[in-house]
Amino acid sequence: MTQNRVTRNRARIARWSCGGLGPARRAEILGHIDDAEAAGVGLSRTETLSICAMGARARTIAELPSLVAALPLALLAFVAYGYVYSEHFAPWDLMEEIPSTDPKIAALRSAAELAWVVVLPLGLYAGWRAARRVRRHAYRLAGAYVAAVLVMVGQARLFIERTEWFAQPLEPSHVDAVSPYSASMLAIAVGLPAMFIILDALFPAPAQTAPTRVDDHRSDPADPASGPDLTALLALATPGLFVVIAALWVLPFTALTWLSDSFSRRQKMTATIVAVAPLLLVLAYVVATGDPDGDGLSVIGLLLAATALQLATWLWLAGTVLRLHRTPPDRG
Amino acid sequence: MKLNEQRFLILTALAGGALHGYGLVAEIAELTDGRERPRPGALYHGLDKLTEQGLVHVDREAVVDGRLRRYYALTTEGRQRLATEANQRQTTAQLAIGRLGTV
Repeated sequence: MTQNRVTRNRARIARWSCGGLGPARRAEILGHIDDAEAAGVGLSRTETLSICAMGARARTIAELPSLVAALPLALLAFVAYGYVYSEHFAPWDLMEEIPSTDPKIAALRSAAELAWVVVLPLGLYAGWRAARRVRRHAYRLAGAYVAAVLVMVGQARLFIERTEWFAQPLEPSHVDAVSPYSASMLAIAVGLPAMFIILDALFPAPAQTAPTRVDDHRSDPADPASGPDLTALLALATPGLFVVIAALWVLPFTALTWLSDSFSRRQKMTATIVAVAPLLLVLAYVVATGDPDGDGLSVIGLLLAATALQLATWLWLAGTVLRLHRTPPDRG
Repeated sequence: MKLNEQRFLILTALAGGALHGYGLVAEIAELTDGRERPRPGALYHGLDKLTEQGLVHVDREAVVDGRLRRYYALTTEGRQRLATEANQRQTTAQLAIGRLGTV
């Protein structure tokens, strides 16, 4: 490969990497790259990598508010799907009480499996495409919402399927059973943001012109006969599951909130307290009563209250993000 | 807080007049005989930080052959800070030279 071709390719890679930067900074860096080429020297390897790192960092920070803001809908979807699934499908009941040879049930379950397998990647892809094509932050938020809701729907299904594991106290023999589930949670928790970042890096939005600012992305258990089966919700109160939720969802998202430039210190503190306090309260309750499964309504009441608080907080944060991104680009 | 070497060099380069990003890289490379050539990430992050601290401001923007150039210049505070830092560094350097002379 000739030197000219090397420098041209470096410039091309550096230009791609600028996709995550705010319009003003992106235009400035594009100018920098052009200046380097016009000077006849082009970019060195370290300079190219430096610009790539800038783009990746900006892209990560720009996507965080979208992912954080996706939580309220994801939580709603989680609860709604759990309710519908337990009432109409009740997989643990089907397995025990209804013959698995029932063609109707078998077809229904197969369709649900297939829909999950097909819809998740399609939803992720469609959400991402919509975000990229329209190139407006509101639509990027919508794309992130769709992706997060679909991921959480899948998670709800896993939660319910594994209710029996979590309805029992954690013993060494359960650890092996929990591990694959934890691994899938971890994979999704890490994979979703990573996917956005990688796709964004591979297919960057076209560069914008006429920038005016330095940087604008500063980016449910009661009587089964009387209603829905709430066993699944009770299972949610077990310490093991709370530890998983805390380790893989609540704490990472709280950390992401702190990393984002979109929120004030007061909002970050509130989000942290609202996210962590219910977990500590439930754990304290379980330790105090010595009942790892909880006694029903008291734990559920606490869970519902915590969920409502968290929803309110996430909506508040989402509103902040939307307001921020509606700010005219030449203000501030 | 003491300025790091790179930010000190950015202020030094800007003491001669307003410069845009790539111009700053070239100027710093020339001032240091090629020893220092700030990478874009460090340069623009440094400029952002210096701007936040009020030591540098965006002087003007110009489009040259379709390329955006944002020129940065020293503020009065930046000029004073540079003078202070330069004096401190000079004192330290003289001390080092003096000690070496006695070895």
